[in-house]
Amino acid sequence: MSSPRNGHSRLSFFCGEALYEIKMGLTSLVVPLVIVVLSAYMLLIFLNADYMRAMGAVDIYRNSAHLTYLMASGQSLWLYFGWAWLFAQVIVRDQNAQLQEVVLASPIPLHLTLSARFVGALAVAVVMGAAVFLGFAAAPILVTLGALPPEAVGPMPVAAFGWSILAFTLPNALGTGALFVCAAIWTRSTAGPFSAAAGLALVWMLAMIVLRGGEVDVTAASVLDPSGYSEAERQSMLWTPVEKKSAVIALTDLWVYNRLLWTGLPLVLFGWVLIRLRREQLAVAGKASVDDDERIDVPHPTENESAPLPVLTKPGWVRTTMLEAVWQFKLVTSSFGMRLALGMLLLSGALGAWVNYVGHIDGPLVPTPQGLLPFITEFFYLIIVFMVVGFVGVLMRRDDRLGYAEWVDSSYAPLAVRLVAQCLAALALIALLCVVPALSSLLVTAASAPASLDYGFPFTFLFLTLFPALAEVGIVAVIAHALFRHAGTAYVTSILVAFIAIINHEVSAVEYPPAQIAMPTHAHPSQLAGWGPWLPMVLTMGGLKIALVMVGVAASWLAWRRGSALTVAERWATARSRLLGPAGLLAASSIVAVFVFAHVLNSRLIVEGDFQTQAQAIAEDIEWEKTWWQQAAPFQLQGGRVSITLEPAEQHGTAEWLLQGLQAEQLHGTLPHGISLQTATIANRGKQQVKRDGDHFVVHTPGCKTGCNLTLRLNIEPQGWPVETAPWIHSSGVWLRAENILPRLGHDPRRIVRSLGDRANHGLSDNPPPMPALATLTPLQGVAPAGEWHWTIQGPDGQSIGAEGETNGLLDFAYVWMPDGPIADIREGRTYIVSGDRTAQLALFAQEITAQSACITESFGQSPDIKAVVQTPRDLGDMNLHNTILWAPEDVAWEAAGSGLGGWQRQFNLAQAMARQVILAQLNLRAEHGAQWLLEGVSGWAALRCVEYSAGLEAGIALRKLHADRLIETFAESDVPISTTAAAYADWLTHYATLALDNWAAADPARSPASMLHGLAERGEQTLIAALQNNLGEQTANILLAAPRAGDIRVQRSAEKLDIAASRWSWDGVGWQPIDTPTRVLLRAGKDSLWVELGAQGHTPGSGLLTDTGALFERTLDDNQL
Amino acid sequence: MADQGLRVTGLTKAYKGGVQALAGVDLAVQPGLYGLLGPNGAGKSTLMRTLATLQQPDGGSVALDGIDVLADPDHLRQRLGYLPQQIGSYPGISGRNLLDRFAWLKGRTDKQERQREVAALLERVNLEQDGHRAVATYSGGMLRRFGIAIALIGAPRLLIVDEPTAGLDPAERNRFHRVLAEIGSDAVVLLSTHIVEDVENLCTRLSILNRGQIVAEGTPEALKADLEGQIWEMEVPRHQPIPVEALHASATPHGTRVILKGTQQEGYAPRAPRLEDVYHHALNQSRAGSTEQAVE
Repeated sequence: MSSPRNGHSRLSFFCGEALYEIKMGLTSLVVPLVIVVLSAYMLLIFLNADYMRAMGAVDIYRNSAHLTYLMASGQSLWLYFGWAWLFAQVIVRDQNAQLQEVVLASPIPLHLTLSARFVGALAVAVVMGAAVFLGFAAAPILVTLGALPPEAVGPMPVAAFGWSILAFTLPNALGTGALFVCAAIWTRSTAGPFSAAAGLALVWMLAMIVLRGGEVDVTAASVLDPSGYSEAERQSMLWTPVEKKSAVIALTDLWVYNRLLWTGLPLVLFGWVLIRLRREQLAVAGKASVDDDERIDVPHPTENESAPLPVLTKPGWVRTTMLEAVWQFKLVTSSFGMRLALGMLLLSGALGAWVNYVGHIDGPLVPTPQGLLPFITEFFYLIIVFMVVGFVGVLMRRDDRLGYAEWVDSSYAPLAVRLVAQCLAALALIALLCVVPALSSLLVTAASAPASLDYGFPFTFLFLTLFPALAEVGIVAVIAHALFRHAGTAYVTSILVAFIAIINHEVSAVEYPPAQIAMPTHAHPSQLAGWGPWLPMVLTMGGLKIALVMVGVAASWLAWRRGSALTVAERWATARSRLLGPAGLLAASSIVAVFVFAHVLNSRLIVEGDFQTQAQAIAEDIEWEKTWWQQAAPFQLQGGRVSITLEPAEQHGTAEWLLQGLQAEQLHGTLPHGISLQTATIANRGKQQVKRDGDHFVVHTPGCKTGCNLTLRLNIEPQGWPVETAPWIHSSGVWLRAENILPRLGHDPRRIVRSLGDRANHGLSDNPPPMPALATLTPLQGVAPAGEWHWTIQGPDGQSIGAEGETNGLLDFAYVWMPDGPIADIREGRTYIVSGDRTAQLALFAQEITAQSACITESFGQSPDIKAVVQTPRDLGDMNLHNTILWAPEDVAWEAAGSGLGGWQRQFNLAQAMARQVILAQLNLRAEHGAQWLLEGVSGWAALRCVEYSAGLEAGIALRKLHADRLIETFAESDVPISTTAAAYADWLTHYATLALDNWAAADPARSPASMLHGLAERGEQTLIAALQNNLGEQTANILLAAPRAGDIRVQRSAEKLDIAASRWSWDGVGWQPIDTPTRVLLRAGKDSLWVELGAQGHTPGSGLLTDTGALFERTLDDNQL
Repeated sequence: MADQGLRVTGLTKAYKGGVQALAGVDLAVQPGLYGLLGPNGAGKSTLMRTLATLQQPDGGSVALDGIDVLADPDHLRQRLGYLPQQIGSYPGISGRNLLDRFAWLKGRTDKQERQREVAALLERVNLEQDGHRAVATYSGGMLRRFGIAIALIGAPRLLIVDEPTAGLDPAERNRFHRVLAEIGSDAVVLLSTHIVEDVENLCTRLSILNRGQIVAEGTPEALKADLEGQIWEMEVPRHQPIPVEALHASATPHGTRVILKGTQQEGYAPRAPRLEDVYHHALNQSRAGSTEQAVE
């Protein structure tokens, strides 16, 4: 360090000090570690197709520009902690070297020195932040190595790099760095900056998870998110794939406000702190205090007690371990930082749950523990992960102080005592962190739905699902601190690992549950079925994670340093010698346990279960297309009988399916998971040849061209464990739909892989194969086309519904059996099978069904007969009508309190389920082009009308906005090219078809759901599209069935006039292209409407919703209301 | 009883870069206070850390009461009290609580015994009134005393103290000397220090270490007796040159006190040898030996 008073100018002093800070930063182990790990991680991300899907980078370059913006801003979350360490060095480096008094006593200008160091640290921080671009720059290596096809990697987006640094990395580092230096000045330690980093992560969490994830206020999220990721994502969501390759983040008002808040304000604070700073503030050590309750009142020794103490002989190390563990735990939890963190966590958890769950976009919701806990786990996960890493680090480094490390290392206590005690304390700390979300959930439930209060469930849930995952995070931190002597390196390493775990958690980069290190076990126990169906899997997963934790403990034991100035060779030799002792035994036994648990999970999830990675599923579908699509064969049926026998306790059963009047030379079908086809027999002709290929089968029926009766005998053994969905058969109950047991007959075009990248990777042409004849296709819903069907289901004794039934339509049925528990309530002739705590909702539910049923009758001239409404466990599909049983999963149909958007959405789901049933009963639809559009579009449109009629225009507007928002999201997330609506089978279709039909129909009152179906039932051999052209007119049908179209009406108000403008776009394969604009729009107010010419209006034409009546969806409904 | 005490034989230790910190150290230390003198970089701290099982030597052996402690370090740790040269602050905890913790790490698991020992040790180092205070608020001297209390947990058989009285006021220093003398009545106390006077007053035997080797060993009296009649002193006025052959020199109010070894020179008065003279003489001898070796 040089003094500006010794012949140097202030500028040269400033530069010299800044350069020294840069040198110190760059030569620390932290920076190269970040650069190497982050670059390597980026390359791994590029290789992970599913990750890229989640980031919206499908069918575009993997190193596209839009990803640079998302990564540059998104990585800030973990960089806060790296930067916290970096900027803390500005203050604590002198202290650590015990040079602060020397430095502060020298004739240097303090403010200039700290400013120079800040600038130096800022330069290093930007280098750290820019490390992610090294991964982008290295992406072509993946092509060279053959890991990616050449078309997957585009030109290096150099401009995007630069713009990302200017728009995100630099202002982020500048603002947060100012905060970290202020925190370091206040605390004279790294504790302040790390606490500030944790605070920033908390704000990020509130902005991203509560405000943005909960769709509470996207604008506020963009302003409040300290990383800027929310704004980057908001903008990139609106980009087309082409735009994603080259788009530039706009410096919107939201971006400016965000930067003012998170860069401008901290810099002002930094300036203020610098101006007020005096040398003595940095020279004096941080204050320390001990609470009164820590004062142990030990009596002075009496004369007898002063006698010499006995010599230490055989200590009880188990007792020592417990003493040490309790001591460590008490110390970490008695710190102000921890108490503050726990308090903030509890408060933010309760507030977050209240805002984001009770007041959810799909709400208001009734906060049952079963519904609330998965949300609250998600909500807390991010911040708890960082807290675990931070506080476990503090715990592991507690003795890392001058003199004390030597004392503990030379103490008699074996290394294992200290290590095990620290690990126990860390686990206790993690358990405490799990208790906080449980308490938050209890607070929210007690305040808003006391009847649902369950004191035990939150704790059980969190300890079974979250605790083992956090224990894995904790042990990673322990290993990092065991390996690295330098605390900064250990902290950064463990935070980096935590960041990777969080990213993997957010985008599901790792799909196989046992490999999801540090991620909570997926389990959705329901009020109906309890833990039963999930418990074996959850316990085994927990066992695996704890075994991995034990491996980590053993690894830390082997690697732990005891003593000083140890060389790598000495540490290696020590580790090898420890391998022959208890550490080695622990390592060996825990590795064996890992293998045992992994083997059990592999058997139950993969061998017996239906787990597949997305890549495996795609590969299987590709093979299916290659092998079977060309062999599609027509089949017709008159009907038949299904006889099913179930033994829920053994998760076993048999089924016999008689297909009567089968006309087919070969019959194709797809078996559901756990079902095997034993035999296929034709009466009087014996067994037929069956060919099986995975879940596909074909029965050769050469004699059935003119008709025969074929019997399929099926074995039911869904033995595996669930991964994403709840099991439908278990000793605690059966909740089956026909699709769970019976094969879906015919060829299903929804199975065709449409992603261009996936097709190219497997050697298929870009275009999906042509559709085979209509008679070869699978029914659009249910398992077999319309016919005279009858079914019986034999289960054990107990309460059941749907055990017998018949239909003259598509074969689709549901059956529910429960040995005990549910309430059977009959209202208005319908049976409701629900859990006890749902009975209060029955009256409202029954009213909604009656109202929507009446509206559907008005819309179509008929409505389906609903004999029973059954509450099913969570994760068992969507609300739908299966013949006469309304399938109402706990998480879809029963969470909404009944008012607001949640209530309207449930009414929409009810009405759409009924409308679907009416359409299917009339049309016997198979999965031909246009069928999905017709079914989802007409039923959705009818449901929208019905809710608007029953709940008013406000409900209609809210639902249209909801569908428009989800449509935009699904467009952005779609990994398949956006095709015509006729040929589409993607998620966006149901939203788009609903909104487009609704707008189009508004122009003419004669356009009704019933009119859409006119003549279609009698179309004979005509394709559905041709029949629609006949019905609607060729031009209209072509527009409705073409590629999606979008519209935007803009209303500008001033004191003198009202200006209304409108734009339209059409999707042309790669992006939205402007098309002709309308000349007038419709002002809708319930059943009344009024045409409004575009342009300036002399006066406000009335109140209501302005609608472009083209076949399109409105992009932003917010400004369409008058 | 030949096996009693600490016996170090041929201890060697080299650091990365070829620095030979210990070059065959031999020590035989019987119960009592044993002094270890040496300049900075002589290898004292390396020797102390090695004896405290904090470092592995490259060669040699260490035995305590006949037990090979390199093979069985826990035998030593059970009997070891160690006072490091530097003691920092420890945040968020009281002195009594921290002392209690080190007591159980030392193996004192019985709560009653532990509390009695903690109270006795706090009294012994004059911290009984400050035991409830946060260690982080202790002054440098208090931290030193606190460190001494930690080192004395479990009545160690071998007490290694590195610069124990640095930072203590004279009263505390005397008090600590008494504690050490008391312990040294039946335990081995290895006292490493720059304060020659402390060794002269307290230790029955001492070694002088330089460049990783013992260059002198014996009782203070015997070592001083070897220089009887060979030490001369004179106060050289300020601004006059100090003879190059001076054994050592120290500042006085009016100039520099110069000590010579050898024959009497003009102006020099005879002086009774002190341990300080022995120390400097041993270091000079060691340097001369190294130079001769280098010349050869």
